[in-house]
Amino acid sequence: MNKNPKGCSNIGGGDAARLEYCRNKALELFSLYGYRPFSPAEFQLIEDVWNKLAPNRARRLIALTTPFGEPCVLRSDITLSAVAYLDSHYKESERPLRLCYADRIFSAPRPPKTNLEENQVGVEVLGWEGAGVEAEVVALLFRTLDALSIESSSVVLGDTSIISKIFEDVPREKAELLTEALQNSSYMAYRGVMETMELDDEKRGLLEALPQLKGSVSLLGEAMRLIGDSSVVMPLKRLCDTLCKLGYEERLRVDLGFIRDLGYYKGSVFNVYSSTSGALLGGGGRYDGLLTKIGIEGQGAGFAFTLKELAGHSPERVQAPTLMLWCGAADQSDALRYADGLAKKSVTFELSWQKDRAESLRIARQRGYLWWIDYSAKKALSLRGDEEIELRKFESEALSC
Amino acid sequence: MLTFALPTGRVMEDCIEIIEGAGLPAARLKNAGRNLVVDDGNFRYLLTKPSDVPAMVHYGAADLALAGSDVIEESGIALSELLDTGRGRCFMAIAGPDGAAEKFSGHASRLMGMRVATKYPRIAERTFAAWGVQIKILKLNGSVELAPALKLSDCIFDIVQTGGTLRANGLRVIRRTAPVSLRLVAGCGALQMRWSSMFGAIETIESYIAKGNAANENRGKPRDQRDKNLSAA
Repeated sequence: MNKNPKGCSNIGGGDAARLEYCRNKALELFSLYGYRPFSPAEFQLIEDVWNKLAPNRARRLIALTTPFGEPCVLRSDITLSAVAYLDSHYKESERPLRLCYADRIFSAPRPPKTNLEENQVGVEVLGWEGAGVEAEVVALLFRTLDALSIESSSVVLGDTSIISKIFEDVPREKAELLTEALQNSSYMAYRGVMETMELDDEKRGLLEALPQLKGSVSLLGEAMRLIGDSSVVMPLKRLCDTLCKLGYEERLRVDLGFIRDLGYYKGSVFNVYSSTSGALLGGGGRYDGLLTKIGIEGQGAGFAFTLKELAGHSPERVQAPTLMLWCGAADQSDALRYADGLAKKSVTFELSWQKDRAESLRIARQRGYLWWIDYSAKKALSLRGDEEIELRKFESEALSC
Repeated sequence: MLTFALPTGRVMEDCIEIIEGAGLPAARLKNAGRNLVVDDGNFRYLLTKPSDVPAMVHYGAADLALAGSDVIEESGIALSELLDTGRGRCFMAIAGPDGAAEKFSGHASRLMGMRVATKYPRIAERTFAAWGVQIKILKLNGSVELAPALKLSDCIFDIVQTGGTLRANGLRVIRRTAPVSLRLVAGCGALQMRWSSMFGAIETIESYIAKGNAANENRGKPRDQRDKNLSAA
């Protein structure tokens, strides 16, 4: 028996069908919005990746040497490949570039997880210099959830530029420690750093209160009052206003203490959760910092869903397969021609080449088919009612339904 | 309803003291008997093995938890640490017989390949690796102090509270490596999604702990300084 390496799993049966459904539905939607499919290489040169990721992400890369002797990593992030693709193939006048993908990423797991690979589906918009892209991306994220009937979900929005702004007048060393504490979601460490700082009451109050502003969009008013400069919060406010106008207010939350790697992300960052299970479905943000590292002007924004989570939260759509066409006693070319006709009518079927009629019938019942067709006898048997009818009658009555 | 995961065993009493002191319902918790799930008012308490607490929070079975910093670090699970309660204080240490202690007083190269018995393989490996020392780990689930006497290991890496068990087994603390205490934690996702429901409980616990800390600091201080500390808390 084949045994998978630890951390890798095969997906089949209903899970694979749901996964495929979500992938196709998402890609179909992305394509309607003008996103072009992108399929990056699974290997990336270490030299191209290493200094573009934060150390805690870089440490989780899975390194290997190709048979050509090049030190590589298994692709851990599709955004990096997308940015490199933009840089090497698209001139400034051809931007922005909209890409979508459904592919695997690989990295060492963080406990308690053990999986080395993950299927992701997502989009990237690269190289735009004006407004609109962040709203487009988050709105598309909501539309994707809606298309998959995962309406019980919420998006938590943060903005790294707000934190950067309020840390501006904090000594650099302390600002780095505070940032690290927030990145690790350690409010204990955050408070610990603050205790070592000499701050006036107003600044201390701001630094204490801001990361605790988590909840409905209305908290942005409180953030503006605390900071005392509404322009700092305005980009996030505008984004939230747009999404609220699109009808997503109930599913939108803000978290003013939510940041990710500040060298990579600049601007909005977001996580998507299932409101029923609390599971993280995906996330994204604006990563101008990454573009800057590569020497590209403008914005980059995108999101990725974990396909397995989407499939797990998307309602069951198990369609009973329609029919099994038994060809064991029929001429092969005749049977295949008949199969072509079924396909043209969009009827789902499976060919059965079993010599034994009874065995073919047994398998059809086991696999849940509605009909079993004996092509050589031109008969159709309903597997629900065990009623046998002429093939011609089946075509005119059952198939027309 | 807000769900707390609480570790059974050594620190359970501390947990009850914190919950009761903070004014959260604790009557049923104090008489939990063999129940592992205790509902009291708007709170649910999951009583679980200490090492399982981080996973309970990570997977969303609990919104909040009290867990030892040793257990959190050993699990490697990313949780949001909200507060150091200061309870359940002890420390992580390397302990061993005199022979092992002598090795530690010399050059780090003498420690290479040491056999270390521990319940905390992850932290032990990281601690020694930080000194550039590779060790052989013997993972035990209890009675770690036995290992050196049975010649299974050269030393142990464990939490130490009073040192009584060490002394009873002919061992002594060779090097303290990190303080340990009971932390209030939450899942990173739960924190973003359910902050408004959690905030009240977090704040009451925080305020109870702060008052206790201020009272401790005040012992032996002049009256005016005491009042200042208490009002700050």
